[in-house]
Amino acid sequence: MTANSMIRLRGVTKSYSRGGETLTVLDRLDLDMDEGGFYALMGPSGSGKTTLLNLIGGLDRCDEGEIGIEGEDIARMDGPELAAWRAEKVGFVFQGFNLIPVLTAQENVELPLLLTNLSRRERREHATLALEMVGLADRRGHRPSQLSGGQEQRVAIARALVSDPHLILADEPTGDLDRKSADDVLGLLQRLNREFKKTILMVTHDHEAAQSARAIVHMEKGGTLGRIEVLAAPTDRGSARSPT
Amino acid sequence: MIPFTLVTKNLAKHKLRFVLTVLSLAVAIFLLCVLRSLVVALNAGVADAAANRVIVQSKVSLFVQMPQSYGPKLKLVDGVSSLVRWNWFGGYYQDPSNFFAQFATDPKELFDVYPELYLVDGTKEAFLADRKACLVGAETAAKYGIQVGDSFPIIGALYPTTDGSAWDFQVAGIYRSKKKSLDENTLFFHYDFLEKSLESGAASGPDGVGIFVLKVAPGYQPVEVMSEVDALFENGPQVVQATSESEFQAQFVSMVGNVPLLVSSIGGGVMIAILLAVLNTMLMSAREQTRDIGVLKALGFTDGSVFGILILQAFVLCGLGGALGILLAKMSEPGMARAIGSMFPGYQVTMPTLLEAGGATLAIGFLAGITPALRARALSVIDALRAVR
Repeated sequence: MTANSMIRLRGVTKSYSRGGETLTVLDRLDLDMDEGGFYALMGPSGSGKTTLLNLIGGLDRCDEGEIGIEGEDIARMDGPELAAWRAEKVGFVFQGFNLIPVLTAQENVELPLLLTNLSRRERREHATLALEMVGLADRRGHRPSQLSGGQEQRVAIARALVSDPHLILADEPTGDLDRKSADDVLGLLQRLNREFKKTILMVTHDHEAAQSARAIVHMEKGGTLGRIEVLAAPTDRGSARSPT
Repeated sequence: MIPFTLVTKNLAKHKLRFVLTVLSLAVAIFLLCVLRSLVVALNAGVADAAANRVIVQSKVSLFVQMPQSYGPKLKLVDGVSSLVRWNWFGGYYQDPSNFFAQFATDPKELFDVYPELYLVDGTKEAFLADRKACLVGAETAAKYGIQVGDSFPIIGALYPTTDGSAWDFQVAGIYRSKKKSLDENTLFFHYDFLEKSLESGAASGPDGVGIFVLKVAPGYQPVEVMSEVDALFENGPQVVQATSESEFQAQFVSMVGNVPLLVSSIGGGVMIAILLAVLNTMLMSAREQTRDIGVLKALGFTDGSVFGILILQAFVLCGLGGALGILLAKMSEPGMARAIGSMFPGYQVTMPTLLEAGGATLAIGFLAGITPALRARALSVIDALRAVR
């Protein structure tokens, strides 16, 4: 898994101070992930899954170590550089969907495109296309409160992919969904990985959801890396164009 | 990059809160404009005072009359080209609430000493010809529907008639003034009419002259004329005080207390109160948007962008309220001028007042927006995303 590494972590350490005590969440972690891979990140609570995802996505900073993404060490970037890097390279999908409630689905999806040089018309076209990909073009004028949980998460996926990032990071994307909606979302992620060659890293507690990935990275309590399980035959979640 | 849709939609999220905040701002800015205009009106006479007029009054008080014999002596002072007497009449039209200024004055000299006075209706000749004739300021004439040729009965409070009837003045002209030194609410009538009525016993009241207004001839220094006048009556019987017109106007304003300071203090208090209210609204709004701020930062929006979103919300909110308040102040100007013109002649919402109100609006916007904007800027993505919506 190192010949074509998209993500390369070396000696990554992250600690938090809590109640006067220092809690080490990640301890000198080394990890490589291939470009075009679909990884599920599993492990018990406190094993540092979400922290790792946040570090790889440039949402948080490590105390020590190197975080190389497509050859760039993002641990050395300053705030504005990291923001620009996130806008261009990463798409995020969160457990709580994190759509902006006052905006419509279309406006939520257009948000990342405000950071590009696209015209207003182009932004609208791109956002419409992304919503079509997740099967929600007919709901573009709806606000998040007018959508179901599954639909909200699909809008969030459309937002994550609209600026065409190479890397999509998903933190418990099916955690708040029923099985049917969860399968739709996992199917979408599989399609993004297979057809559009997106590298996907998904944190999950759900063993069934993890079977959608091509490999499962197991984290151990104390923030160390466990085994990496390559799935010969990931569960196929079917068409991404899910019914609403 | 600031998503403007987000700015406007966040403001409109809580419609009632938004409308109430905008309205309270509008009322505060309207009040500021009105209070400021009152101060401007009070000071207008001072600012527009003529440099070549000297006011002579009793040194004891403005309310103490000077002997009639001072008039001829003052005319002989070197540099005095003309002189006019003014006596406060203190009457009212029909009801004490219909109060406005009336002065007994020397009709011919009035036009000479006050060249800014001009008639918009009626003639100077008609005013000079009839001892019962009067000139009425255009604002007062409009307020009471008085026209040239009308009889204008005024009840004399300071100079009551013996039989208790009203003084019957004949309106010979309606005047306006080219300068704020002379307001357009006053009634001027013949000094002779007052004097003869007192002599004949048809009316009673204080004898003597309220003030003398001297016109200084070109080439003479008003300061020298003032010194000479003061020296002339140094030994009485009534010691006088000669001042420039601007000093006199300022003294007149200060007689009713330090109104500009009082009014400014009230205006300042209103501004502080509204600032705290808007700040509270903005802090609540920013707290509700904490998670959205985290999302925006995660998507790649910079700290500066989220700062801009929050500060812009404050500016838009305050801008709307301020603009509404300024509009109200300007639209209510004619009505206010009519309603309070007798107490604050020349009431006008001037451009500097509007600019001050605009500046106050921007200042409130900035002060109300800066704290939540700085907080949003400093917020880490992780902490913001953890916030409960």
